[in-house]
Amino acid sequence: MTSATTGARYLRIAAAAAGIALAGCSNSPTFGTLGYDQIAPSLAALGSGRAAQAERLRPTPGFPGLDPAVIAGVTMPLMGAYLESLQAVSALSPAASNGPVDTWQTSDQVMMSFVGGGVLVSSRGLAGDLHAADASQTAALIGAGRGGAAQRRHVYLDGVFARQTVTLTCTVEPSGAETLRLNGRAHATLRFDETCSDGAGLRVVNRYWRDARGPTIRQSSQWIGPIAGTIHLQRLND
Amino acid sequence: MSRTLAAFAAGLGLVVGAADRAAAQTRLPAQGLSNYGMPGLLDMPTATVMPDGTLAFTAQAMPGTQRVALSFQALPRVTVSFRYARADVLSWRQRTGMALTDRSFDIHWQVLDEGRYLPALAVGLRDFIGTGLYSGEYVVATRTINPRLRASLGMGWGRLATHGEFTNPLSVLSDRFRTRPGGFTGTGGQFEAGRWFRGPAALFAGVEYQATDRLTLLAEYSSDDYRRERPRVGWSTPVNIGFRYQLTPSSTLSGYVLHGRNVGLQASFAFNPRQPPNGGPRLAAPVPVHLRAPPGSGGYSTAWAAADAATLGAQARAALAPAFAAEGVRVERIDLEPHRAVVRLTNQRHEALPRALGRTARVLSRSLPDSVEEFVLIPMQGGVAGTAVTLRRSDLERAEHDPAGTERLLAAARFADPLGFPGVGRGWQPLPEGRDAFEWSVGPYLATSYFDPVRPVRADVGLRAQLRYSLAENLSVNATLSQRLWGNIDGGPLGPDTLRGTRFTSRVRTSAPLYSSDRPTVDRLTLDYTMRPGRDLYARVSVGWLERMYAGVSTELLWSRPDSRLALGVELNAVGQRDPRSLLGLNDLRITTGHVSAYYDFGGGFLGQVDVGRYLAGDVGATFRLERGFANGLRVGAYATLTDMPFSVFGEGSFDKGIYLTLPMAALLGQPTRSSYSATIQSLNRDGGARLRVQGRLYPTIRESREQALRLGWGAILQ
Repeated sequence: MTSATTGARYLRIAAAAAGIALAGCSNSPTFGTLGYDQIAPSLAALGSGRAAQAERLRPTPGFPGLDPAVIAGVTMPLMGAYLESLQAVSALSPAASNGPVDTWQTSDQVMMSFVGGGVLVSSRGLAGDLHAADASQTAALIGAGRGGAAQRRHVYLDGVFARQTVTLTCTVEPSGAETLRLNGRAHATLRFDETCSDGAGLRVVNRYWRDARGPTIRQSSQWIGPIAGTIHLQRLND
Repeated sequence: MSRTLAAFAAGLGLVVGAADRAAAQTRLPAQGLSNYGMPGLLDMPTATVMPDGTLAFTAQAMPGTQRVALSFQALPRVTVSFRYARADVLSWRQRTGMALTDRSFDIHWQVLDEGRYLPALAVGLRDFIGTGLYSGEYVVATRTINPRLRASLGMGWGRLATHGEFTNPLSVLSDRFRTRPGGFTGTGGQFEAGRWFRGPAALFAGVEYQATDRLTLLAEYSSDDYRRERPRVGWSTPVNIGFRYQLTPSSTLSGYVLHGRNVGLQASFAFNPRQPPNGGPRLAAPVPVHLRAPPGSGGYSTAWAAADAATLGAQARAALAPAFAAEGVRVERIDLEPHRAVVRLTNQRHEALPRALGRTARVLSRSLPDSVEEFVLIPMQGGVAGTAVTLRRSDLERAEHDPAGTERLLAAARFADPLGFPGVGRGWQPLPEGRDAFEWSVGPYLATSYFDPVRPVRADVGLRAQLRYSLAENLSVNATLSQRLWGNIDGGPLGPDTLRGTRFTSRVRTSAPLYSSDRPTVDRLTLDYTMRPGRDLYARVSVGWLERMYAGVSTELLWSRPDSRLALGVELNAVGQRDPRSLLGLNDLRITTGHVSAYYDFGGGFLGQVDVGRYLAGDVGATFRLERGFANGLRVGAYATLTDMPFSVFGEGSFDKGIYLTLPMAALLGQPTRSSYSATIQSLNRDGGARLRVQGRLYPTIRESREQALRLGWGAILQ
């Protein structure tokens, strides 16, 4: 163990001790002073910084490190996710459908919803969640295998839960056929690049690899929002 | 781990989603705070403002002058500030042997925002209530020359016209502007409007230059010559120079040289409730809404409702308890009917009640029979049932992914008095099944006492236990016990007894330091009962040791209709003063005090309150409160109490006034929690305008579920 990690460990122990001293305790979360259980997780996050945040997105023990051999043994559909801003990897599986929207979730309380086989319309459980979005025009173009202009409307909530709407003007361009090799299987896909701008200096690029035969988006890189950044998604086992 | 990440990224073809703000990031920050904690450069103001709702704390120190200030952007164009300063004023030191300590209030109004051609324009009053050390007024214009350079030019009066002064140009209007009355009125602490914009005027100017993303250079020509602080504060030039360094998005550190002779530092911390650090508390995702099959497909049978209703409800509550707990909600009772579910719940985690309601509804949508179309959600607060919020299940299903779903849910939601819904009655409410009758918490406490000139901050720290034994949902025994570990509040002076020999009762509050000691104390030991005498009516009775200084009976009646902006209350208390040397005993003082209160919710988080009645010292008058609250729990307010007690009898400060704030802990801790920190800063703790500090007053208990409050935080319902 290097001295740096020893130092970090002592710091964390000291922080935890201070937390206990400061926080007190209670038998009910609605009663009295701030409970230790409320303060402890944030101290852990302070102590280990990014690693603690990445922890939240870590796959369950069932899918350690998204090991291909393990994925092969899973029968339900799986989607791998890599969130750039936290450098975190996770696996999502289907949780619910509501009309045209499919919702997938990780085992650790992150949820993402998609339309048109994989165009992101909301996230929950991240800092700076995409509260809701209308991306129907983009999804329709990709579904039809065409390029064209599309309007997007993204809704975010600020710190007082007020809607902040970002309207994006986008161009979807088909970029030809590509063969993806995912988890040992080859998939013929059509690639689409979507370039968006809010007219005030924000520029966003999303990329989609749609299955050549069907509506499923096999792989994508999509912008969630200004705080959460970009997420890379990949269907793993179907 | 990093290998897995690299492999995964490689699998994606190393695509980088490009998202960049092409616009120059190096624009000047919207605002900077001066040494006075107000929009400005170093000592001089600018015509800028902070983002609306921002709460800022600044501290400044140089030899001979130290100031701390709490500032609030109360309206998009109005900034207010409370400041505590220590200044080494020679005349004061000669008289008292001490530095002068001073409390003061500022107000700053940006009349015009910067336009294409016109500069921003602001008018401000410094130290407009009080004894006048910093008393001064200004008009200032600020113009952005280029994205890195901003310049200001202004005219000052009062203290802001002590260098380079000339005849007041306003004297063309009237000769009375020619001279400025000195001193202050009576016992201080009053609006000194008779002084504003009078006497000589002077010009000041300044520039700020954004050198790098984080560093701003400042220079100003100051019209304040610090004549009262000389020679402790030196003066050889009117020019001040300095820098401001952005440490984090919310904090700055500044250094400067004032008047060529005085080196100082300033730090500021600003909290904008709309942009909390790191994007706000991180929330675990809720469960997704379950979409039922279309009607007619067989799932809507109500045959299940043939079973005993009480058994069904108890079973549902028990089975769903873990799912609700995962969402931070405690469900106390479920009443199931063929087409409706009535759910009584306590929000245990969420800063905004609508989020707890939304998450409860999500769990219900996943678990109740398809025929149940209406969810009636009744939030409980302090043993009192709050507004019953009715949501339609099909609306929830449609709203889940609708960008305008939040608004559509609100438009369709119904708000009603919960009285009459199953499980909500007028009187005795039995404790819900499965609830612990005994609740406790033990933690540290910090009590503070400010503005003693010898020691501006006095404090006690120790351990405090809170205990509650619930005999029913709405009847409980509450105790707060403290043991001080260290402290010096008891060493503080009681101040002069200005009420002696008058018709008012003296030492109703100024004896507070006597109640601080190293002995174990019973801060509160009460039997508390709430009830519903009728529709829109709430009542409370508290008996026992109500607060550290008083014991007795406190009763209250409140009229509050969920959808009305107005609420009215009556409070009547009969108390005796506790003996500071005894654990539970009283001394001979008996007081009857009471108020009639009107509460008005202006919407958007603005709340006004007027209390008219008789105060502890026997004075009769009114307290006026105005506060601004935010959906995340941040509240900032100010109050003033005017009674028939003459200012001269009240003593220093003339009348009671102060500011209060509640800081939600969620934004600081980075995770959802209902914990918050509240503080009231009185300009002086005196005997006039003093109220009983009884716990569990009705309006604060139920206000979170009043319709206006629910509307304010409704954005969180699908969060």
